Formats: sequence, structure tokens, C-alpha cells
Amino acid sequence: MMTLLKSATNGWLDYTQHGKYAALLLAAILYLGYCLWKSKAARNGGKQPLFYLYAVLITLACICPVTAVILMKYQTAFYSYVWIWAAVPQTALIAWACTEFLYTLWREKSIRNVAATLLLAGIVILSGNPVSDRTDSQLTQVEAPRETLRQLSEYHLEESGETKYSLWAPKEILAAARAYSADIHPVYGRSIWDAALGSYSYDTYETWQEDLYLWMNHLEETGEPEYVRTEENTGERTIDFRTCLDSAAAAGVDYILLPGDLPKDTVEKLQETLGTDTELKTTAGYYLIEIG
Amino acid sequence: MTFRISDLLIRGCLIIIGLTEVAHLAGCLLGWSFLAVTELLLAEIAVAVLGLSLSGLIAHKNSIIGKPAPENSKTSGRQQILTVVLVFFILLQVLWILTGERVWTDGDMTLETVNTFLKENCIYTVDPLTGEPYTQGMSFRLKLLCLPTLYGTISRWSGMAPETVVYRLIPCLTLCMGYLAYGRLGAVLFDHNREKCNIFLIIVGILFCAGTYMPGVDGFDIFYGGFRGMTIRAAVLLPYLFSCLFERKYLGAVLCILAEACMVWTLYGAGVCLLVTVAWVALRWLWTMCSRSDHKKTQAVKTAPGEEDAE
Repeated sequence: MMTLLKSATNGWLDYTQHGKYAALLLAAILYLGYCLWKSKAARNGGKQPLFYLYAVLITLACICPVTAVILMKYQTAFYSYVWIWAAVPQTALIAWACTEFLYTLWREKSIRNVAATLLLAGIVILSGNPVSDRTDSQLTQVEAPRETLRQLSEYHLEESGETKYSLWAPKEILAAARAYSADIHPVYGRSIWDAALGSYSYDTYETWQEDLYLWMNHLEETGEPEYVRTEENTGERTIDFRTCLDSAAAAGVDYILLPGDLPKDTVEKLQETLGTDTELKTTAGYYLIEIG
Repeated sequence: MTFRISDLLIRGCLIIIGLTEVAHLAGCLLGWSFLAVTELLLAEIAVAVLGLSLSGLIAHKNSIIGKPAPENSKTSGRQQILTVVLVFFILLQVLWILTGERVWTDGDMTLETVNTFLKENCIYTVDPLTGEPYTQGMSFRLKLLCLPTLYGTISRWSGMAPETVVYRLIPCLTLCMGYLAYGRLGAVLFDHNREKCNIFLIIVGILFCAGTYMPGVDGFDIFYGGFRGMTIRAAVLLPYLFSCLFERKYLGAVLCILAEACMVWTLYGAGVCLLVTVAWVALRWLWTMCSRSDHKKTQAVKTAPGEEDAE
């Protein structure tokens, strides 16, 4: 319960940090309140006050941590704080307030009113934070990994005459693999790093799969071919390329892709582990290793 | 009852989602192949279209429907300009979706699921993320969500690549349906004042474009994740639900609640649409009670003999 309460409090801070639509919403609520208070039709039982009242109450319920927790419980604990705002007609309310404002403004044609209109447009656009760094971090590139997968799939088809193959590769490639083709069988899926996807299945990953993921991640981030994994039960354990190669071979992996921008000494170490029979080829910006 | 194209289109989409759910359940519970599921869905839609057309014709003959929606017949120059701006705006946004190179895939595996359904010709027998058979299975509530079946069926019927359907076609449809839904909401909010409606829709469009800074904001959800159930709920179901509640069209509200249960992982079907409907009905009841007691008080004051004497 305390975790949820904390999540609700921090959620509001996070929600207002990146863009200012929440501030715009509060401004819209104030302005519409003023408009409705002045409007005779509204006081005489129009439809708008009910919508306004609902919007005000649900907005307050989302801001207040205690009611926010109730809403979070209602929508299942799986979803984070931000999703309780789904019940707030935010876009509708802001647009309604802007419409009322502009409609009143445009009754009289003057330069001052044109300037006010432009100012309002500027406020709305800037409230959306068009240069947010969060947008980039949340999005996945579609084309770049697909090109690599296309080349690899064509190569596999030429070599073996089959379309189906198993792959172990860096995160961005494995993330796009199944979206590109259901013929590709990644050694682990996106659910190994995307916790939200874990709830789609009761299956869990085995230790060797986690080892492969952690080793590849470490290689991408540091360029080092050895990773020390610390676990409560087994203590510290070093995962090296040899261990990973053996696990991949045992799992029937056909191809391994390694990041193409590795330091020279790392490449030499990897080649050393592979021996002289297997060569590290470069393809589409990655090192390619064929197994079997 | 008034007849509107937007109502028809939105309700048509909601009914298609319901029919997809029926076909999807046949695949999930009875183990039908995906091909059989798509054929069942095709048959269902054909029967539904035929049935609705026939009932529409009969209703039209009996003049039950056919009344045009109340609207201002005068079209001012400013209104025409606003309409042109709006259409231009929507086209630009469609172009944005069609040429976009980035998508929001966190916590979502729609495209992988569609690819897997088409490849394996069965529903949820293998894990869409690895292609390996499930050992422990998956949550039944999640298994019930039918959007991958709908997208897979569209891909199979149209011959379009699943990626094109999921990342391009569906977000464009969501955007257009969103405008229809907001159009309905604007119409009831501004009493069918078309000029206000157009301003409202243009501002909604600006908010969509500018609000692409984080998940959960309408613009971000539509442009980068328009294929998700949560986006369809936010952009189409909720504005339409509000317009239905405004006009006391509870059938439309029920359709929204059911459609949400088929598309979004909610707590036993009790999603946001249900919450909004219950809250709205409760507020309306309270509002009516308060209005009545106010009215009674005013009447009592007006008819009180002491008051009349005093005047």
C-alpha cells in the first residue's frame, strides 16, 4: 500500500515534469469554470456543467495521492500511475476551453486578437514540450534493425535453403527479430528486459538464457568479453565468451551477431576463443558468427 | 433517434471488434486454426452487414430514422476556411504516421503476435516473443484480447504485410476514428455549432501534434502506438462514450465498455469506460436531485403567502 502511495506521489511529479499539459488542463478548468459561472444557459441546466463537474472531480482524484491509489488499484496494479489519467478527458477539456476563448476573441477583428490567438497557439505547442528527451528514449527504430535482419535472412536462405533459424544478437536486433519475421527464433525474447511483457506469459527464462543476455549487454556497454554475475545463491560467477558459445550451441543457435564497434583487443580475444576454424565476419555493421 | 454517419462508423467499428472477439474465442477455446478464425470473422461481418442493411432499409421505410442531425445550414466563409485547415491538418498527421520510422513497443507485442498467428496458423500456442511453445501458458485475461486476430485477419485478407497493417494502417484509422469521436463530442458540447466544432477539432489536432512527449498523452499514443488497445480507448472510445452519455445513448456506452474489455487488459472487464459511465450516471443523478430540491425551494419561496404579502 505504501509503495502504491509513493508511486502515486512520484507519479504526479513525473507526469508534470516532461510536458505541461497538466498545467494547461488546470488552466482550462479555471477558465471553463469562469465561463460556465457567467453563462445563463449553463446555470439553467445545460449539458456542459455535468461534463465539467466530472472532469474537475476526476482530475482532483488523479492528483490527490489517496484517491490516485484507489484508481490505480481499480485499473490493476500492472499499470503505472500515468494510466489513471486515461479517465480524465484532458484533450477534450483543453480543446473546449481554447474553443470558447477563441470563439469569444474572434467576434471582434483586430490585430490584438490575432496576436492573442498566436500567443495561445504558442502556449499550447510549448506546453507539449516538442523537444522532450523522453520521446526518443521510449521509441524503437523500425528500419535499421530490419535491414540487418533482412540481409541475414537472405544469407540464411541462400546457404541452407530454409527460412527458419535461431539467433542470438544484441538487444536492438533481438527486439526487432520476431516483429520482422516469425521464422526467426531468438534465444530470448524482449520480455527478458521489458518487465511489462513478462506478465504476458507464466514462463520464465533459464539461467543460461539470462547469462547470455547479461553477457551481450555487458559487451555492448563496455566492450569487455567477460562479465561477473553476482547472485545471492551462487555468489560471484564469471561469464565468458566460451561459456556463452557452448550454451548457444547447445540451444541450437544458428547465428550470433556481435556489436560491430568492439575494441580491437576484444575482437582478438573473441577470435582466439573461436579458434581458427570459425571466422568473425562483418555484416551490416555487426560481427557474424555461424554455428554448426 | 437521429442518424449520423459518424455514429454509424464508430459503432460499426465497435461491432467489428465484438465480432472479432467471438471469432478469437473460437480460436482460443475451441482450438480452431487461424485460417478458420479469419473465415469465421469474414462470415460474421458479412452477416452483420447484411442484417444491418436490411434493418436499416426497413427502418428507413418506416421513417423511424432518416431525420438529419440538427445543424446550422449557413456556411460562413470562416467556417469553410476552418474546414479546409482541419482537413489539411488531418492529412498531414496521416502522412506523419505513414512516414514515421519509430514506434512505441514497450510492453507491447502486437506485431510479434500477428506474425506468429499467421506463421503458426493457430492462436497462442507458441510464445510470440521467442517462437517456442508455452510451457506454463499465459494469463487467460490477456489471451482474450482480440486485436492481434483482427490485424492478422486484415493482413490475410488484404495481402498487406503485418507490419504495414499494425504500424501504418491501424494508427491512421485510429486517428481518423478519433477525429470522428471528438467531432461527435464537439457536436453535443457546442449544440451542433459547426464553427465551434471545427475550432474544437483543430485544437484537438494541435494537442495531438504537440503532445507527443510521453506515453499516456494522446498525441504520443496515436502517432507512435496507434495500434494499441489503450490508444483506441483514449482516442476513440472515451470521447465517443462522453458524447453518448451526454445524449443518454446508453447502448453506445455499453458498446464502448464491451469494446474496451475486448482490447485492453482491465480488471475483469471493469475498465475506464465502465468507471466513467458509473461516475457520470452517479453525478447526473446527484445533479438532478440538487436541481429538483433547488427548484422546489424556489417554488416554495415564490408561492409562500407571507412573501406575496410582503411584496
